[in-house]
Amino acid sequence: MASGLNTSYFKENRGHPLSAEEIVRSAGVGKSERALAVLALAAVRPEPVGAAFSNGYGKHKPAQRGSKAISRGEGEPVAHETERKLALDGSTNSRNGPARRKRVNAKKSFKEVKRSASGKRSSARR
Amino acid sequence: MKTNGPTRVFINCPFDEKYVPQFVALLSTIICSGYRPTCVLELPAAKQRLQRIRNLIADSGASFHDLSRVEGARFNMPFEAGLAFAHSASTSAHSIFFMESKRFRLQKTLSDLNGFDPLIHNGNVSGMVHRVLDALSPEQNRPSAKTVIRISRVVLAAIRRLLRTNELDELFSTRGFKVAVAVASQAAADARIIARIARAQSR
Repeated sequence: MASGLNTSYFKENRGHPLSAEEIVRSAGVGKSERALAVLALAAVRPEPVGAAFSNGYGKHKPAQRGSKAISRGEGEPVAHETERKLALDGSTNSRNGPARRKRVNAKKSFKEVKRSASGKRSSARR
Repeated sequence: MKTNGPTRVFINCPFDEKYVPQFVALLSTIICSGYRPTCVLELPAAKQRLQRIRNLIADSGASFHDLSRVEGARFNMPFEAGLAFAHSASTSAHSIFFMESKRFRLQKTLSDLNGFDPLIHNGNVSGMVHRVLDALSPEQNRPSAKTVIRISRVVLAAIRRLLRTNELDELFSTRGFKVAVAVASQAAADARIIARIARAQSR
């Protein structure tokens, strides 16, 4: 398996390993390189490897994070969460929700509303 | 508590594009094991380069020599392997590990080393991580190979991103090596992998 004259050196005489901070310091890594490393890691991996289960939100439920955070009164709501809440209030001209349906239907005749609600189309369109 | 011996690990490997994933895996595994990787890339092109390479090897507690690049190889790698071998023969404070991607090939390419079993990494990241962990870490308190492989993939993605966005000019340069060490150390720190090993060893 292992080769060399004294391969057991690192296995037997090993003391405490260096911390990440000590490794970086002894390698002469500067502030700019460290900042670059943090940015690059954040870009390819938004969450730290070990933090997946430590944030209390679970690993595979990113969409729920916003609502849970809001209900707990912590953190900022995510964009889509804000949009959905506002649309339900009917306070915006969002593309979905009851407010839009009401606005659109107001322009239609009674027959058109009935037809669109039942999902039928006129024979002329076919 | 201080370590008992030198904590640097010297890397002697090919510096080409095809070797990048394995280089990153080697670097990440050394860092995840709690050691500081060192390499000739750290030396600026200057006079007395050879003496400084000898000093780097002498300051290291172990060295890895990947002799898998047979075709189109330069002679730097076998030469540095020879320097490290001479150093390890004169002291008990240096472990030397030869690596190959194929079984029995080192017996043909470097028959002087018959009798030494090289670490066979099969030319892939998983093989590299397992073999380096075998060499560096004791059976107990060994970081999980699965975690180290995951970390090395994240580190590789981060470095590729830096190269793509021109934040980094070249990986195999003085600055490239420092950035790679910074990225791998940060990833290991985020995974709290080194701290876990240290805690287990202090028990």
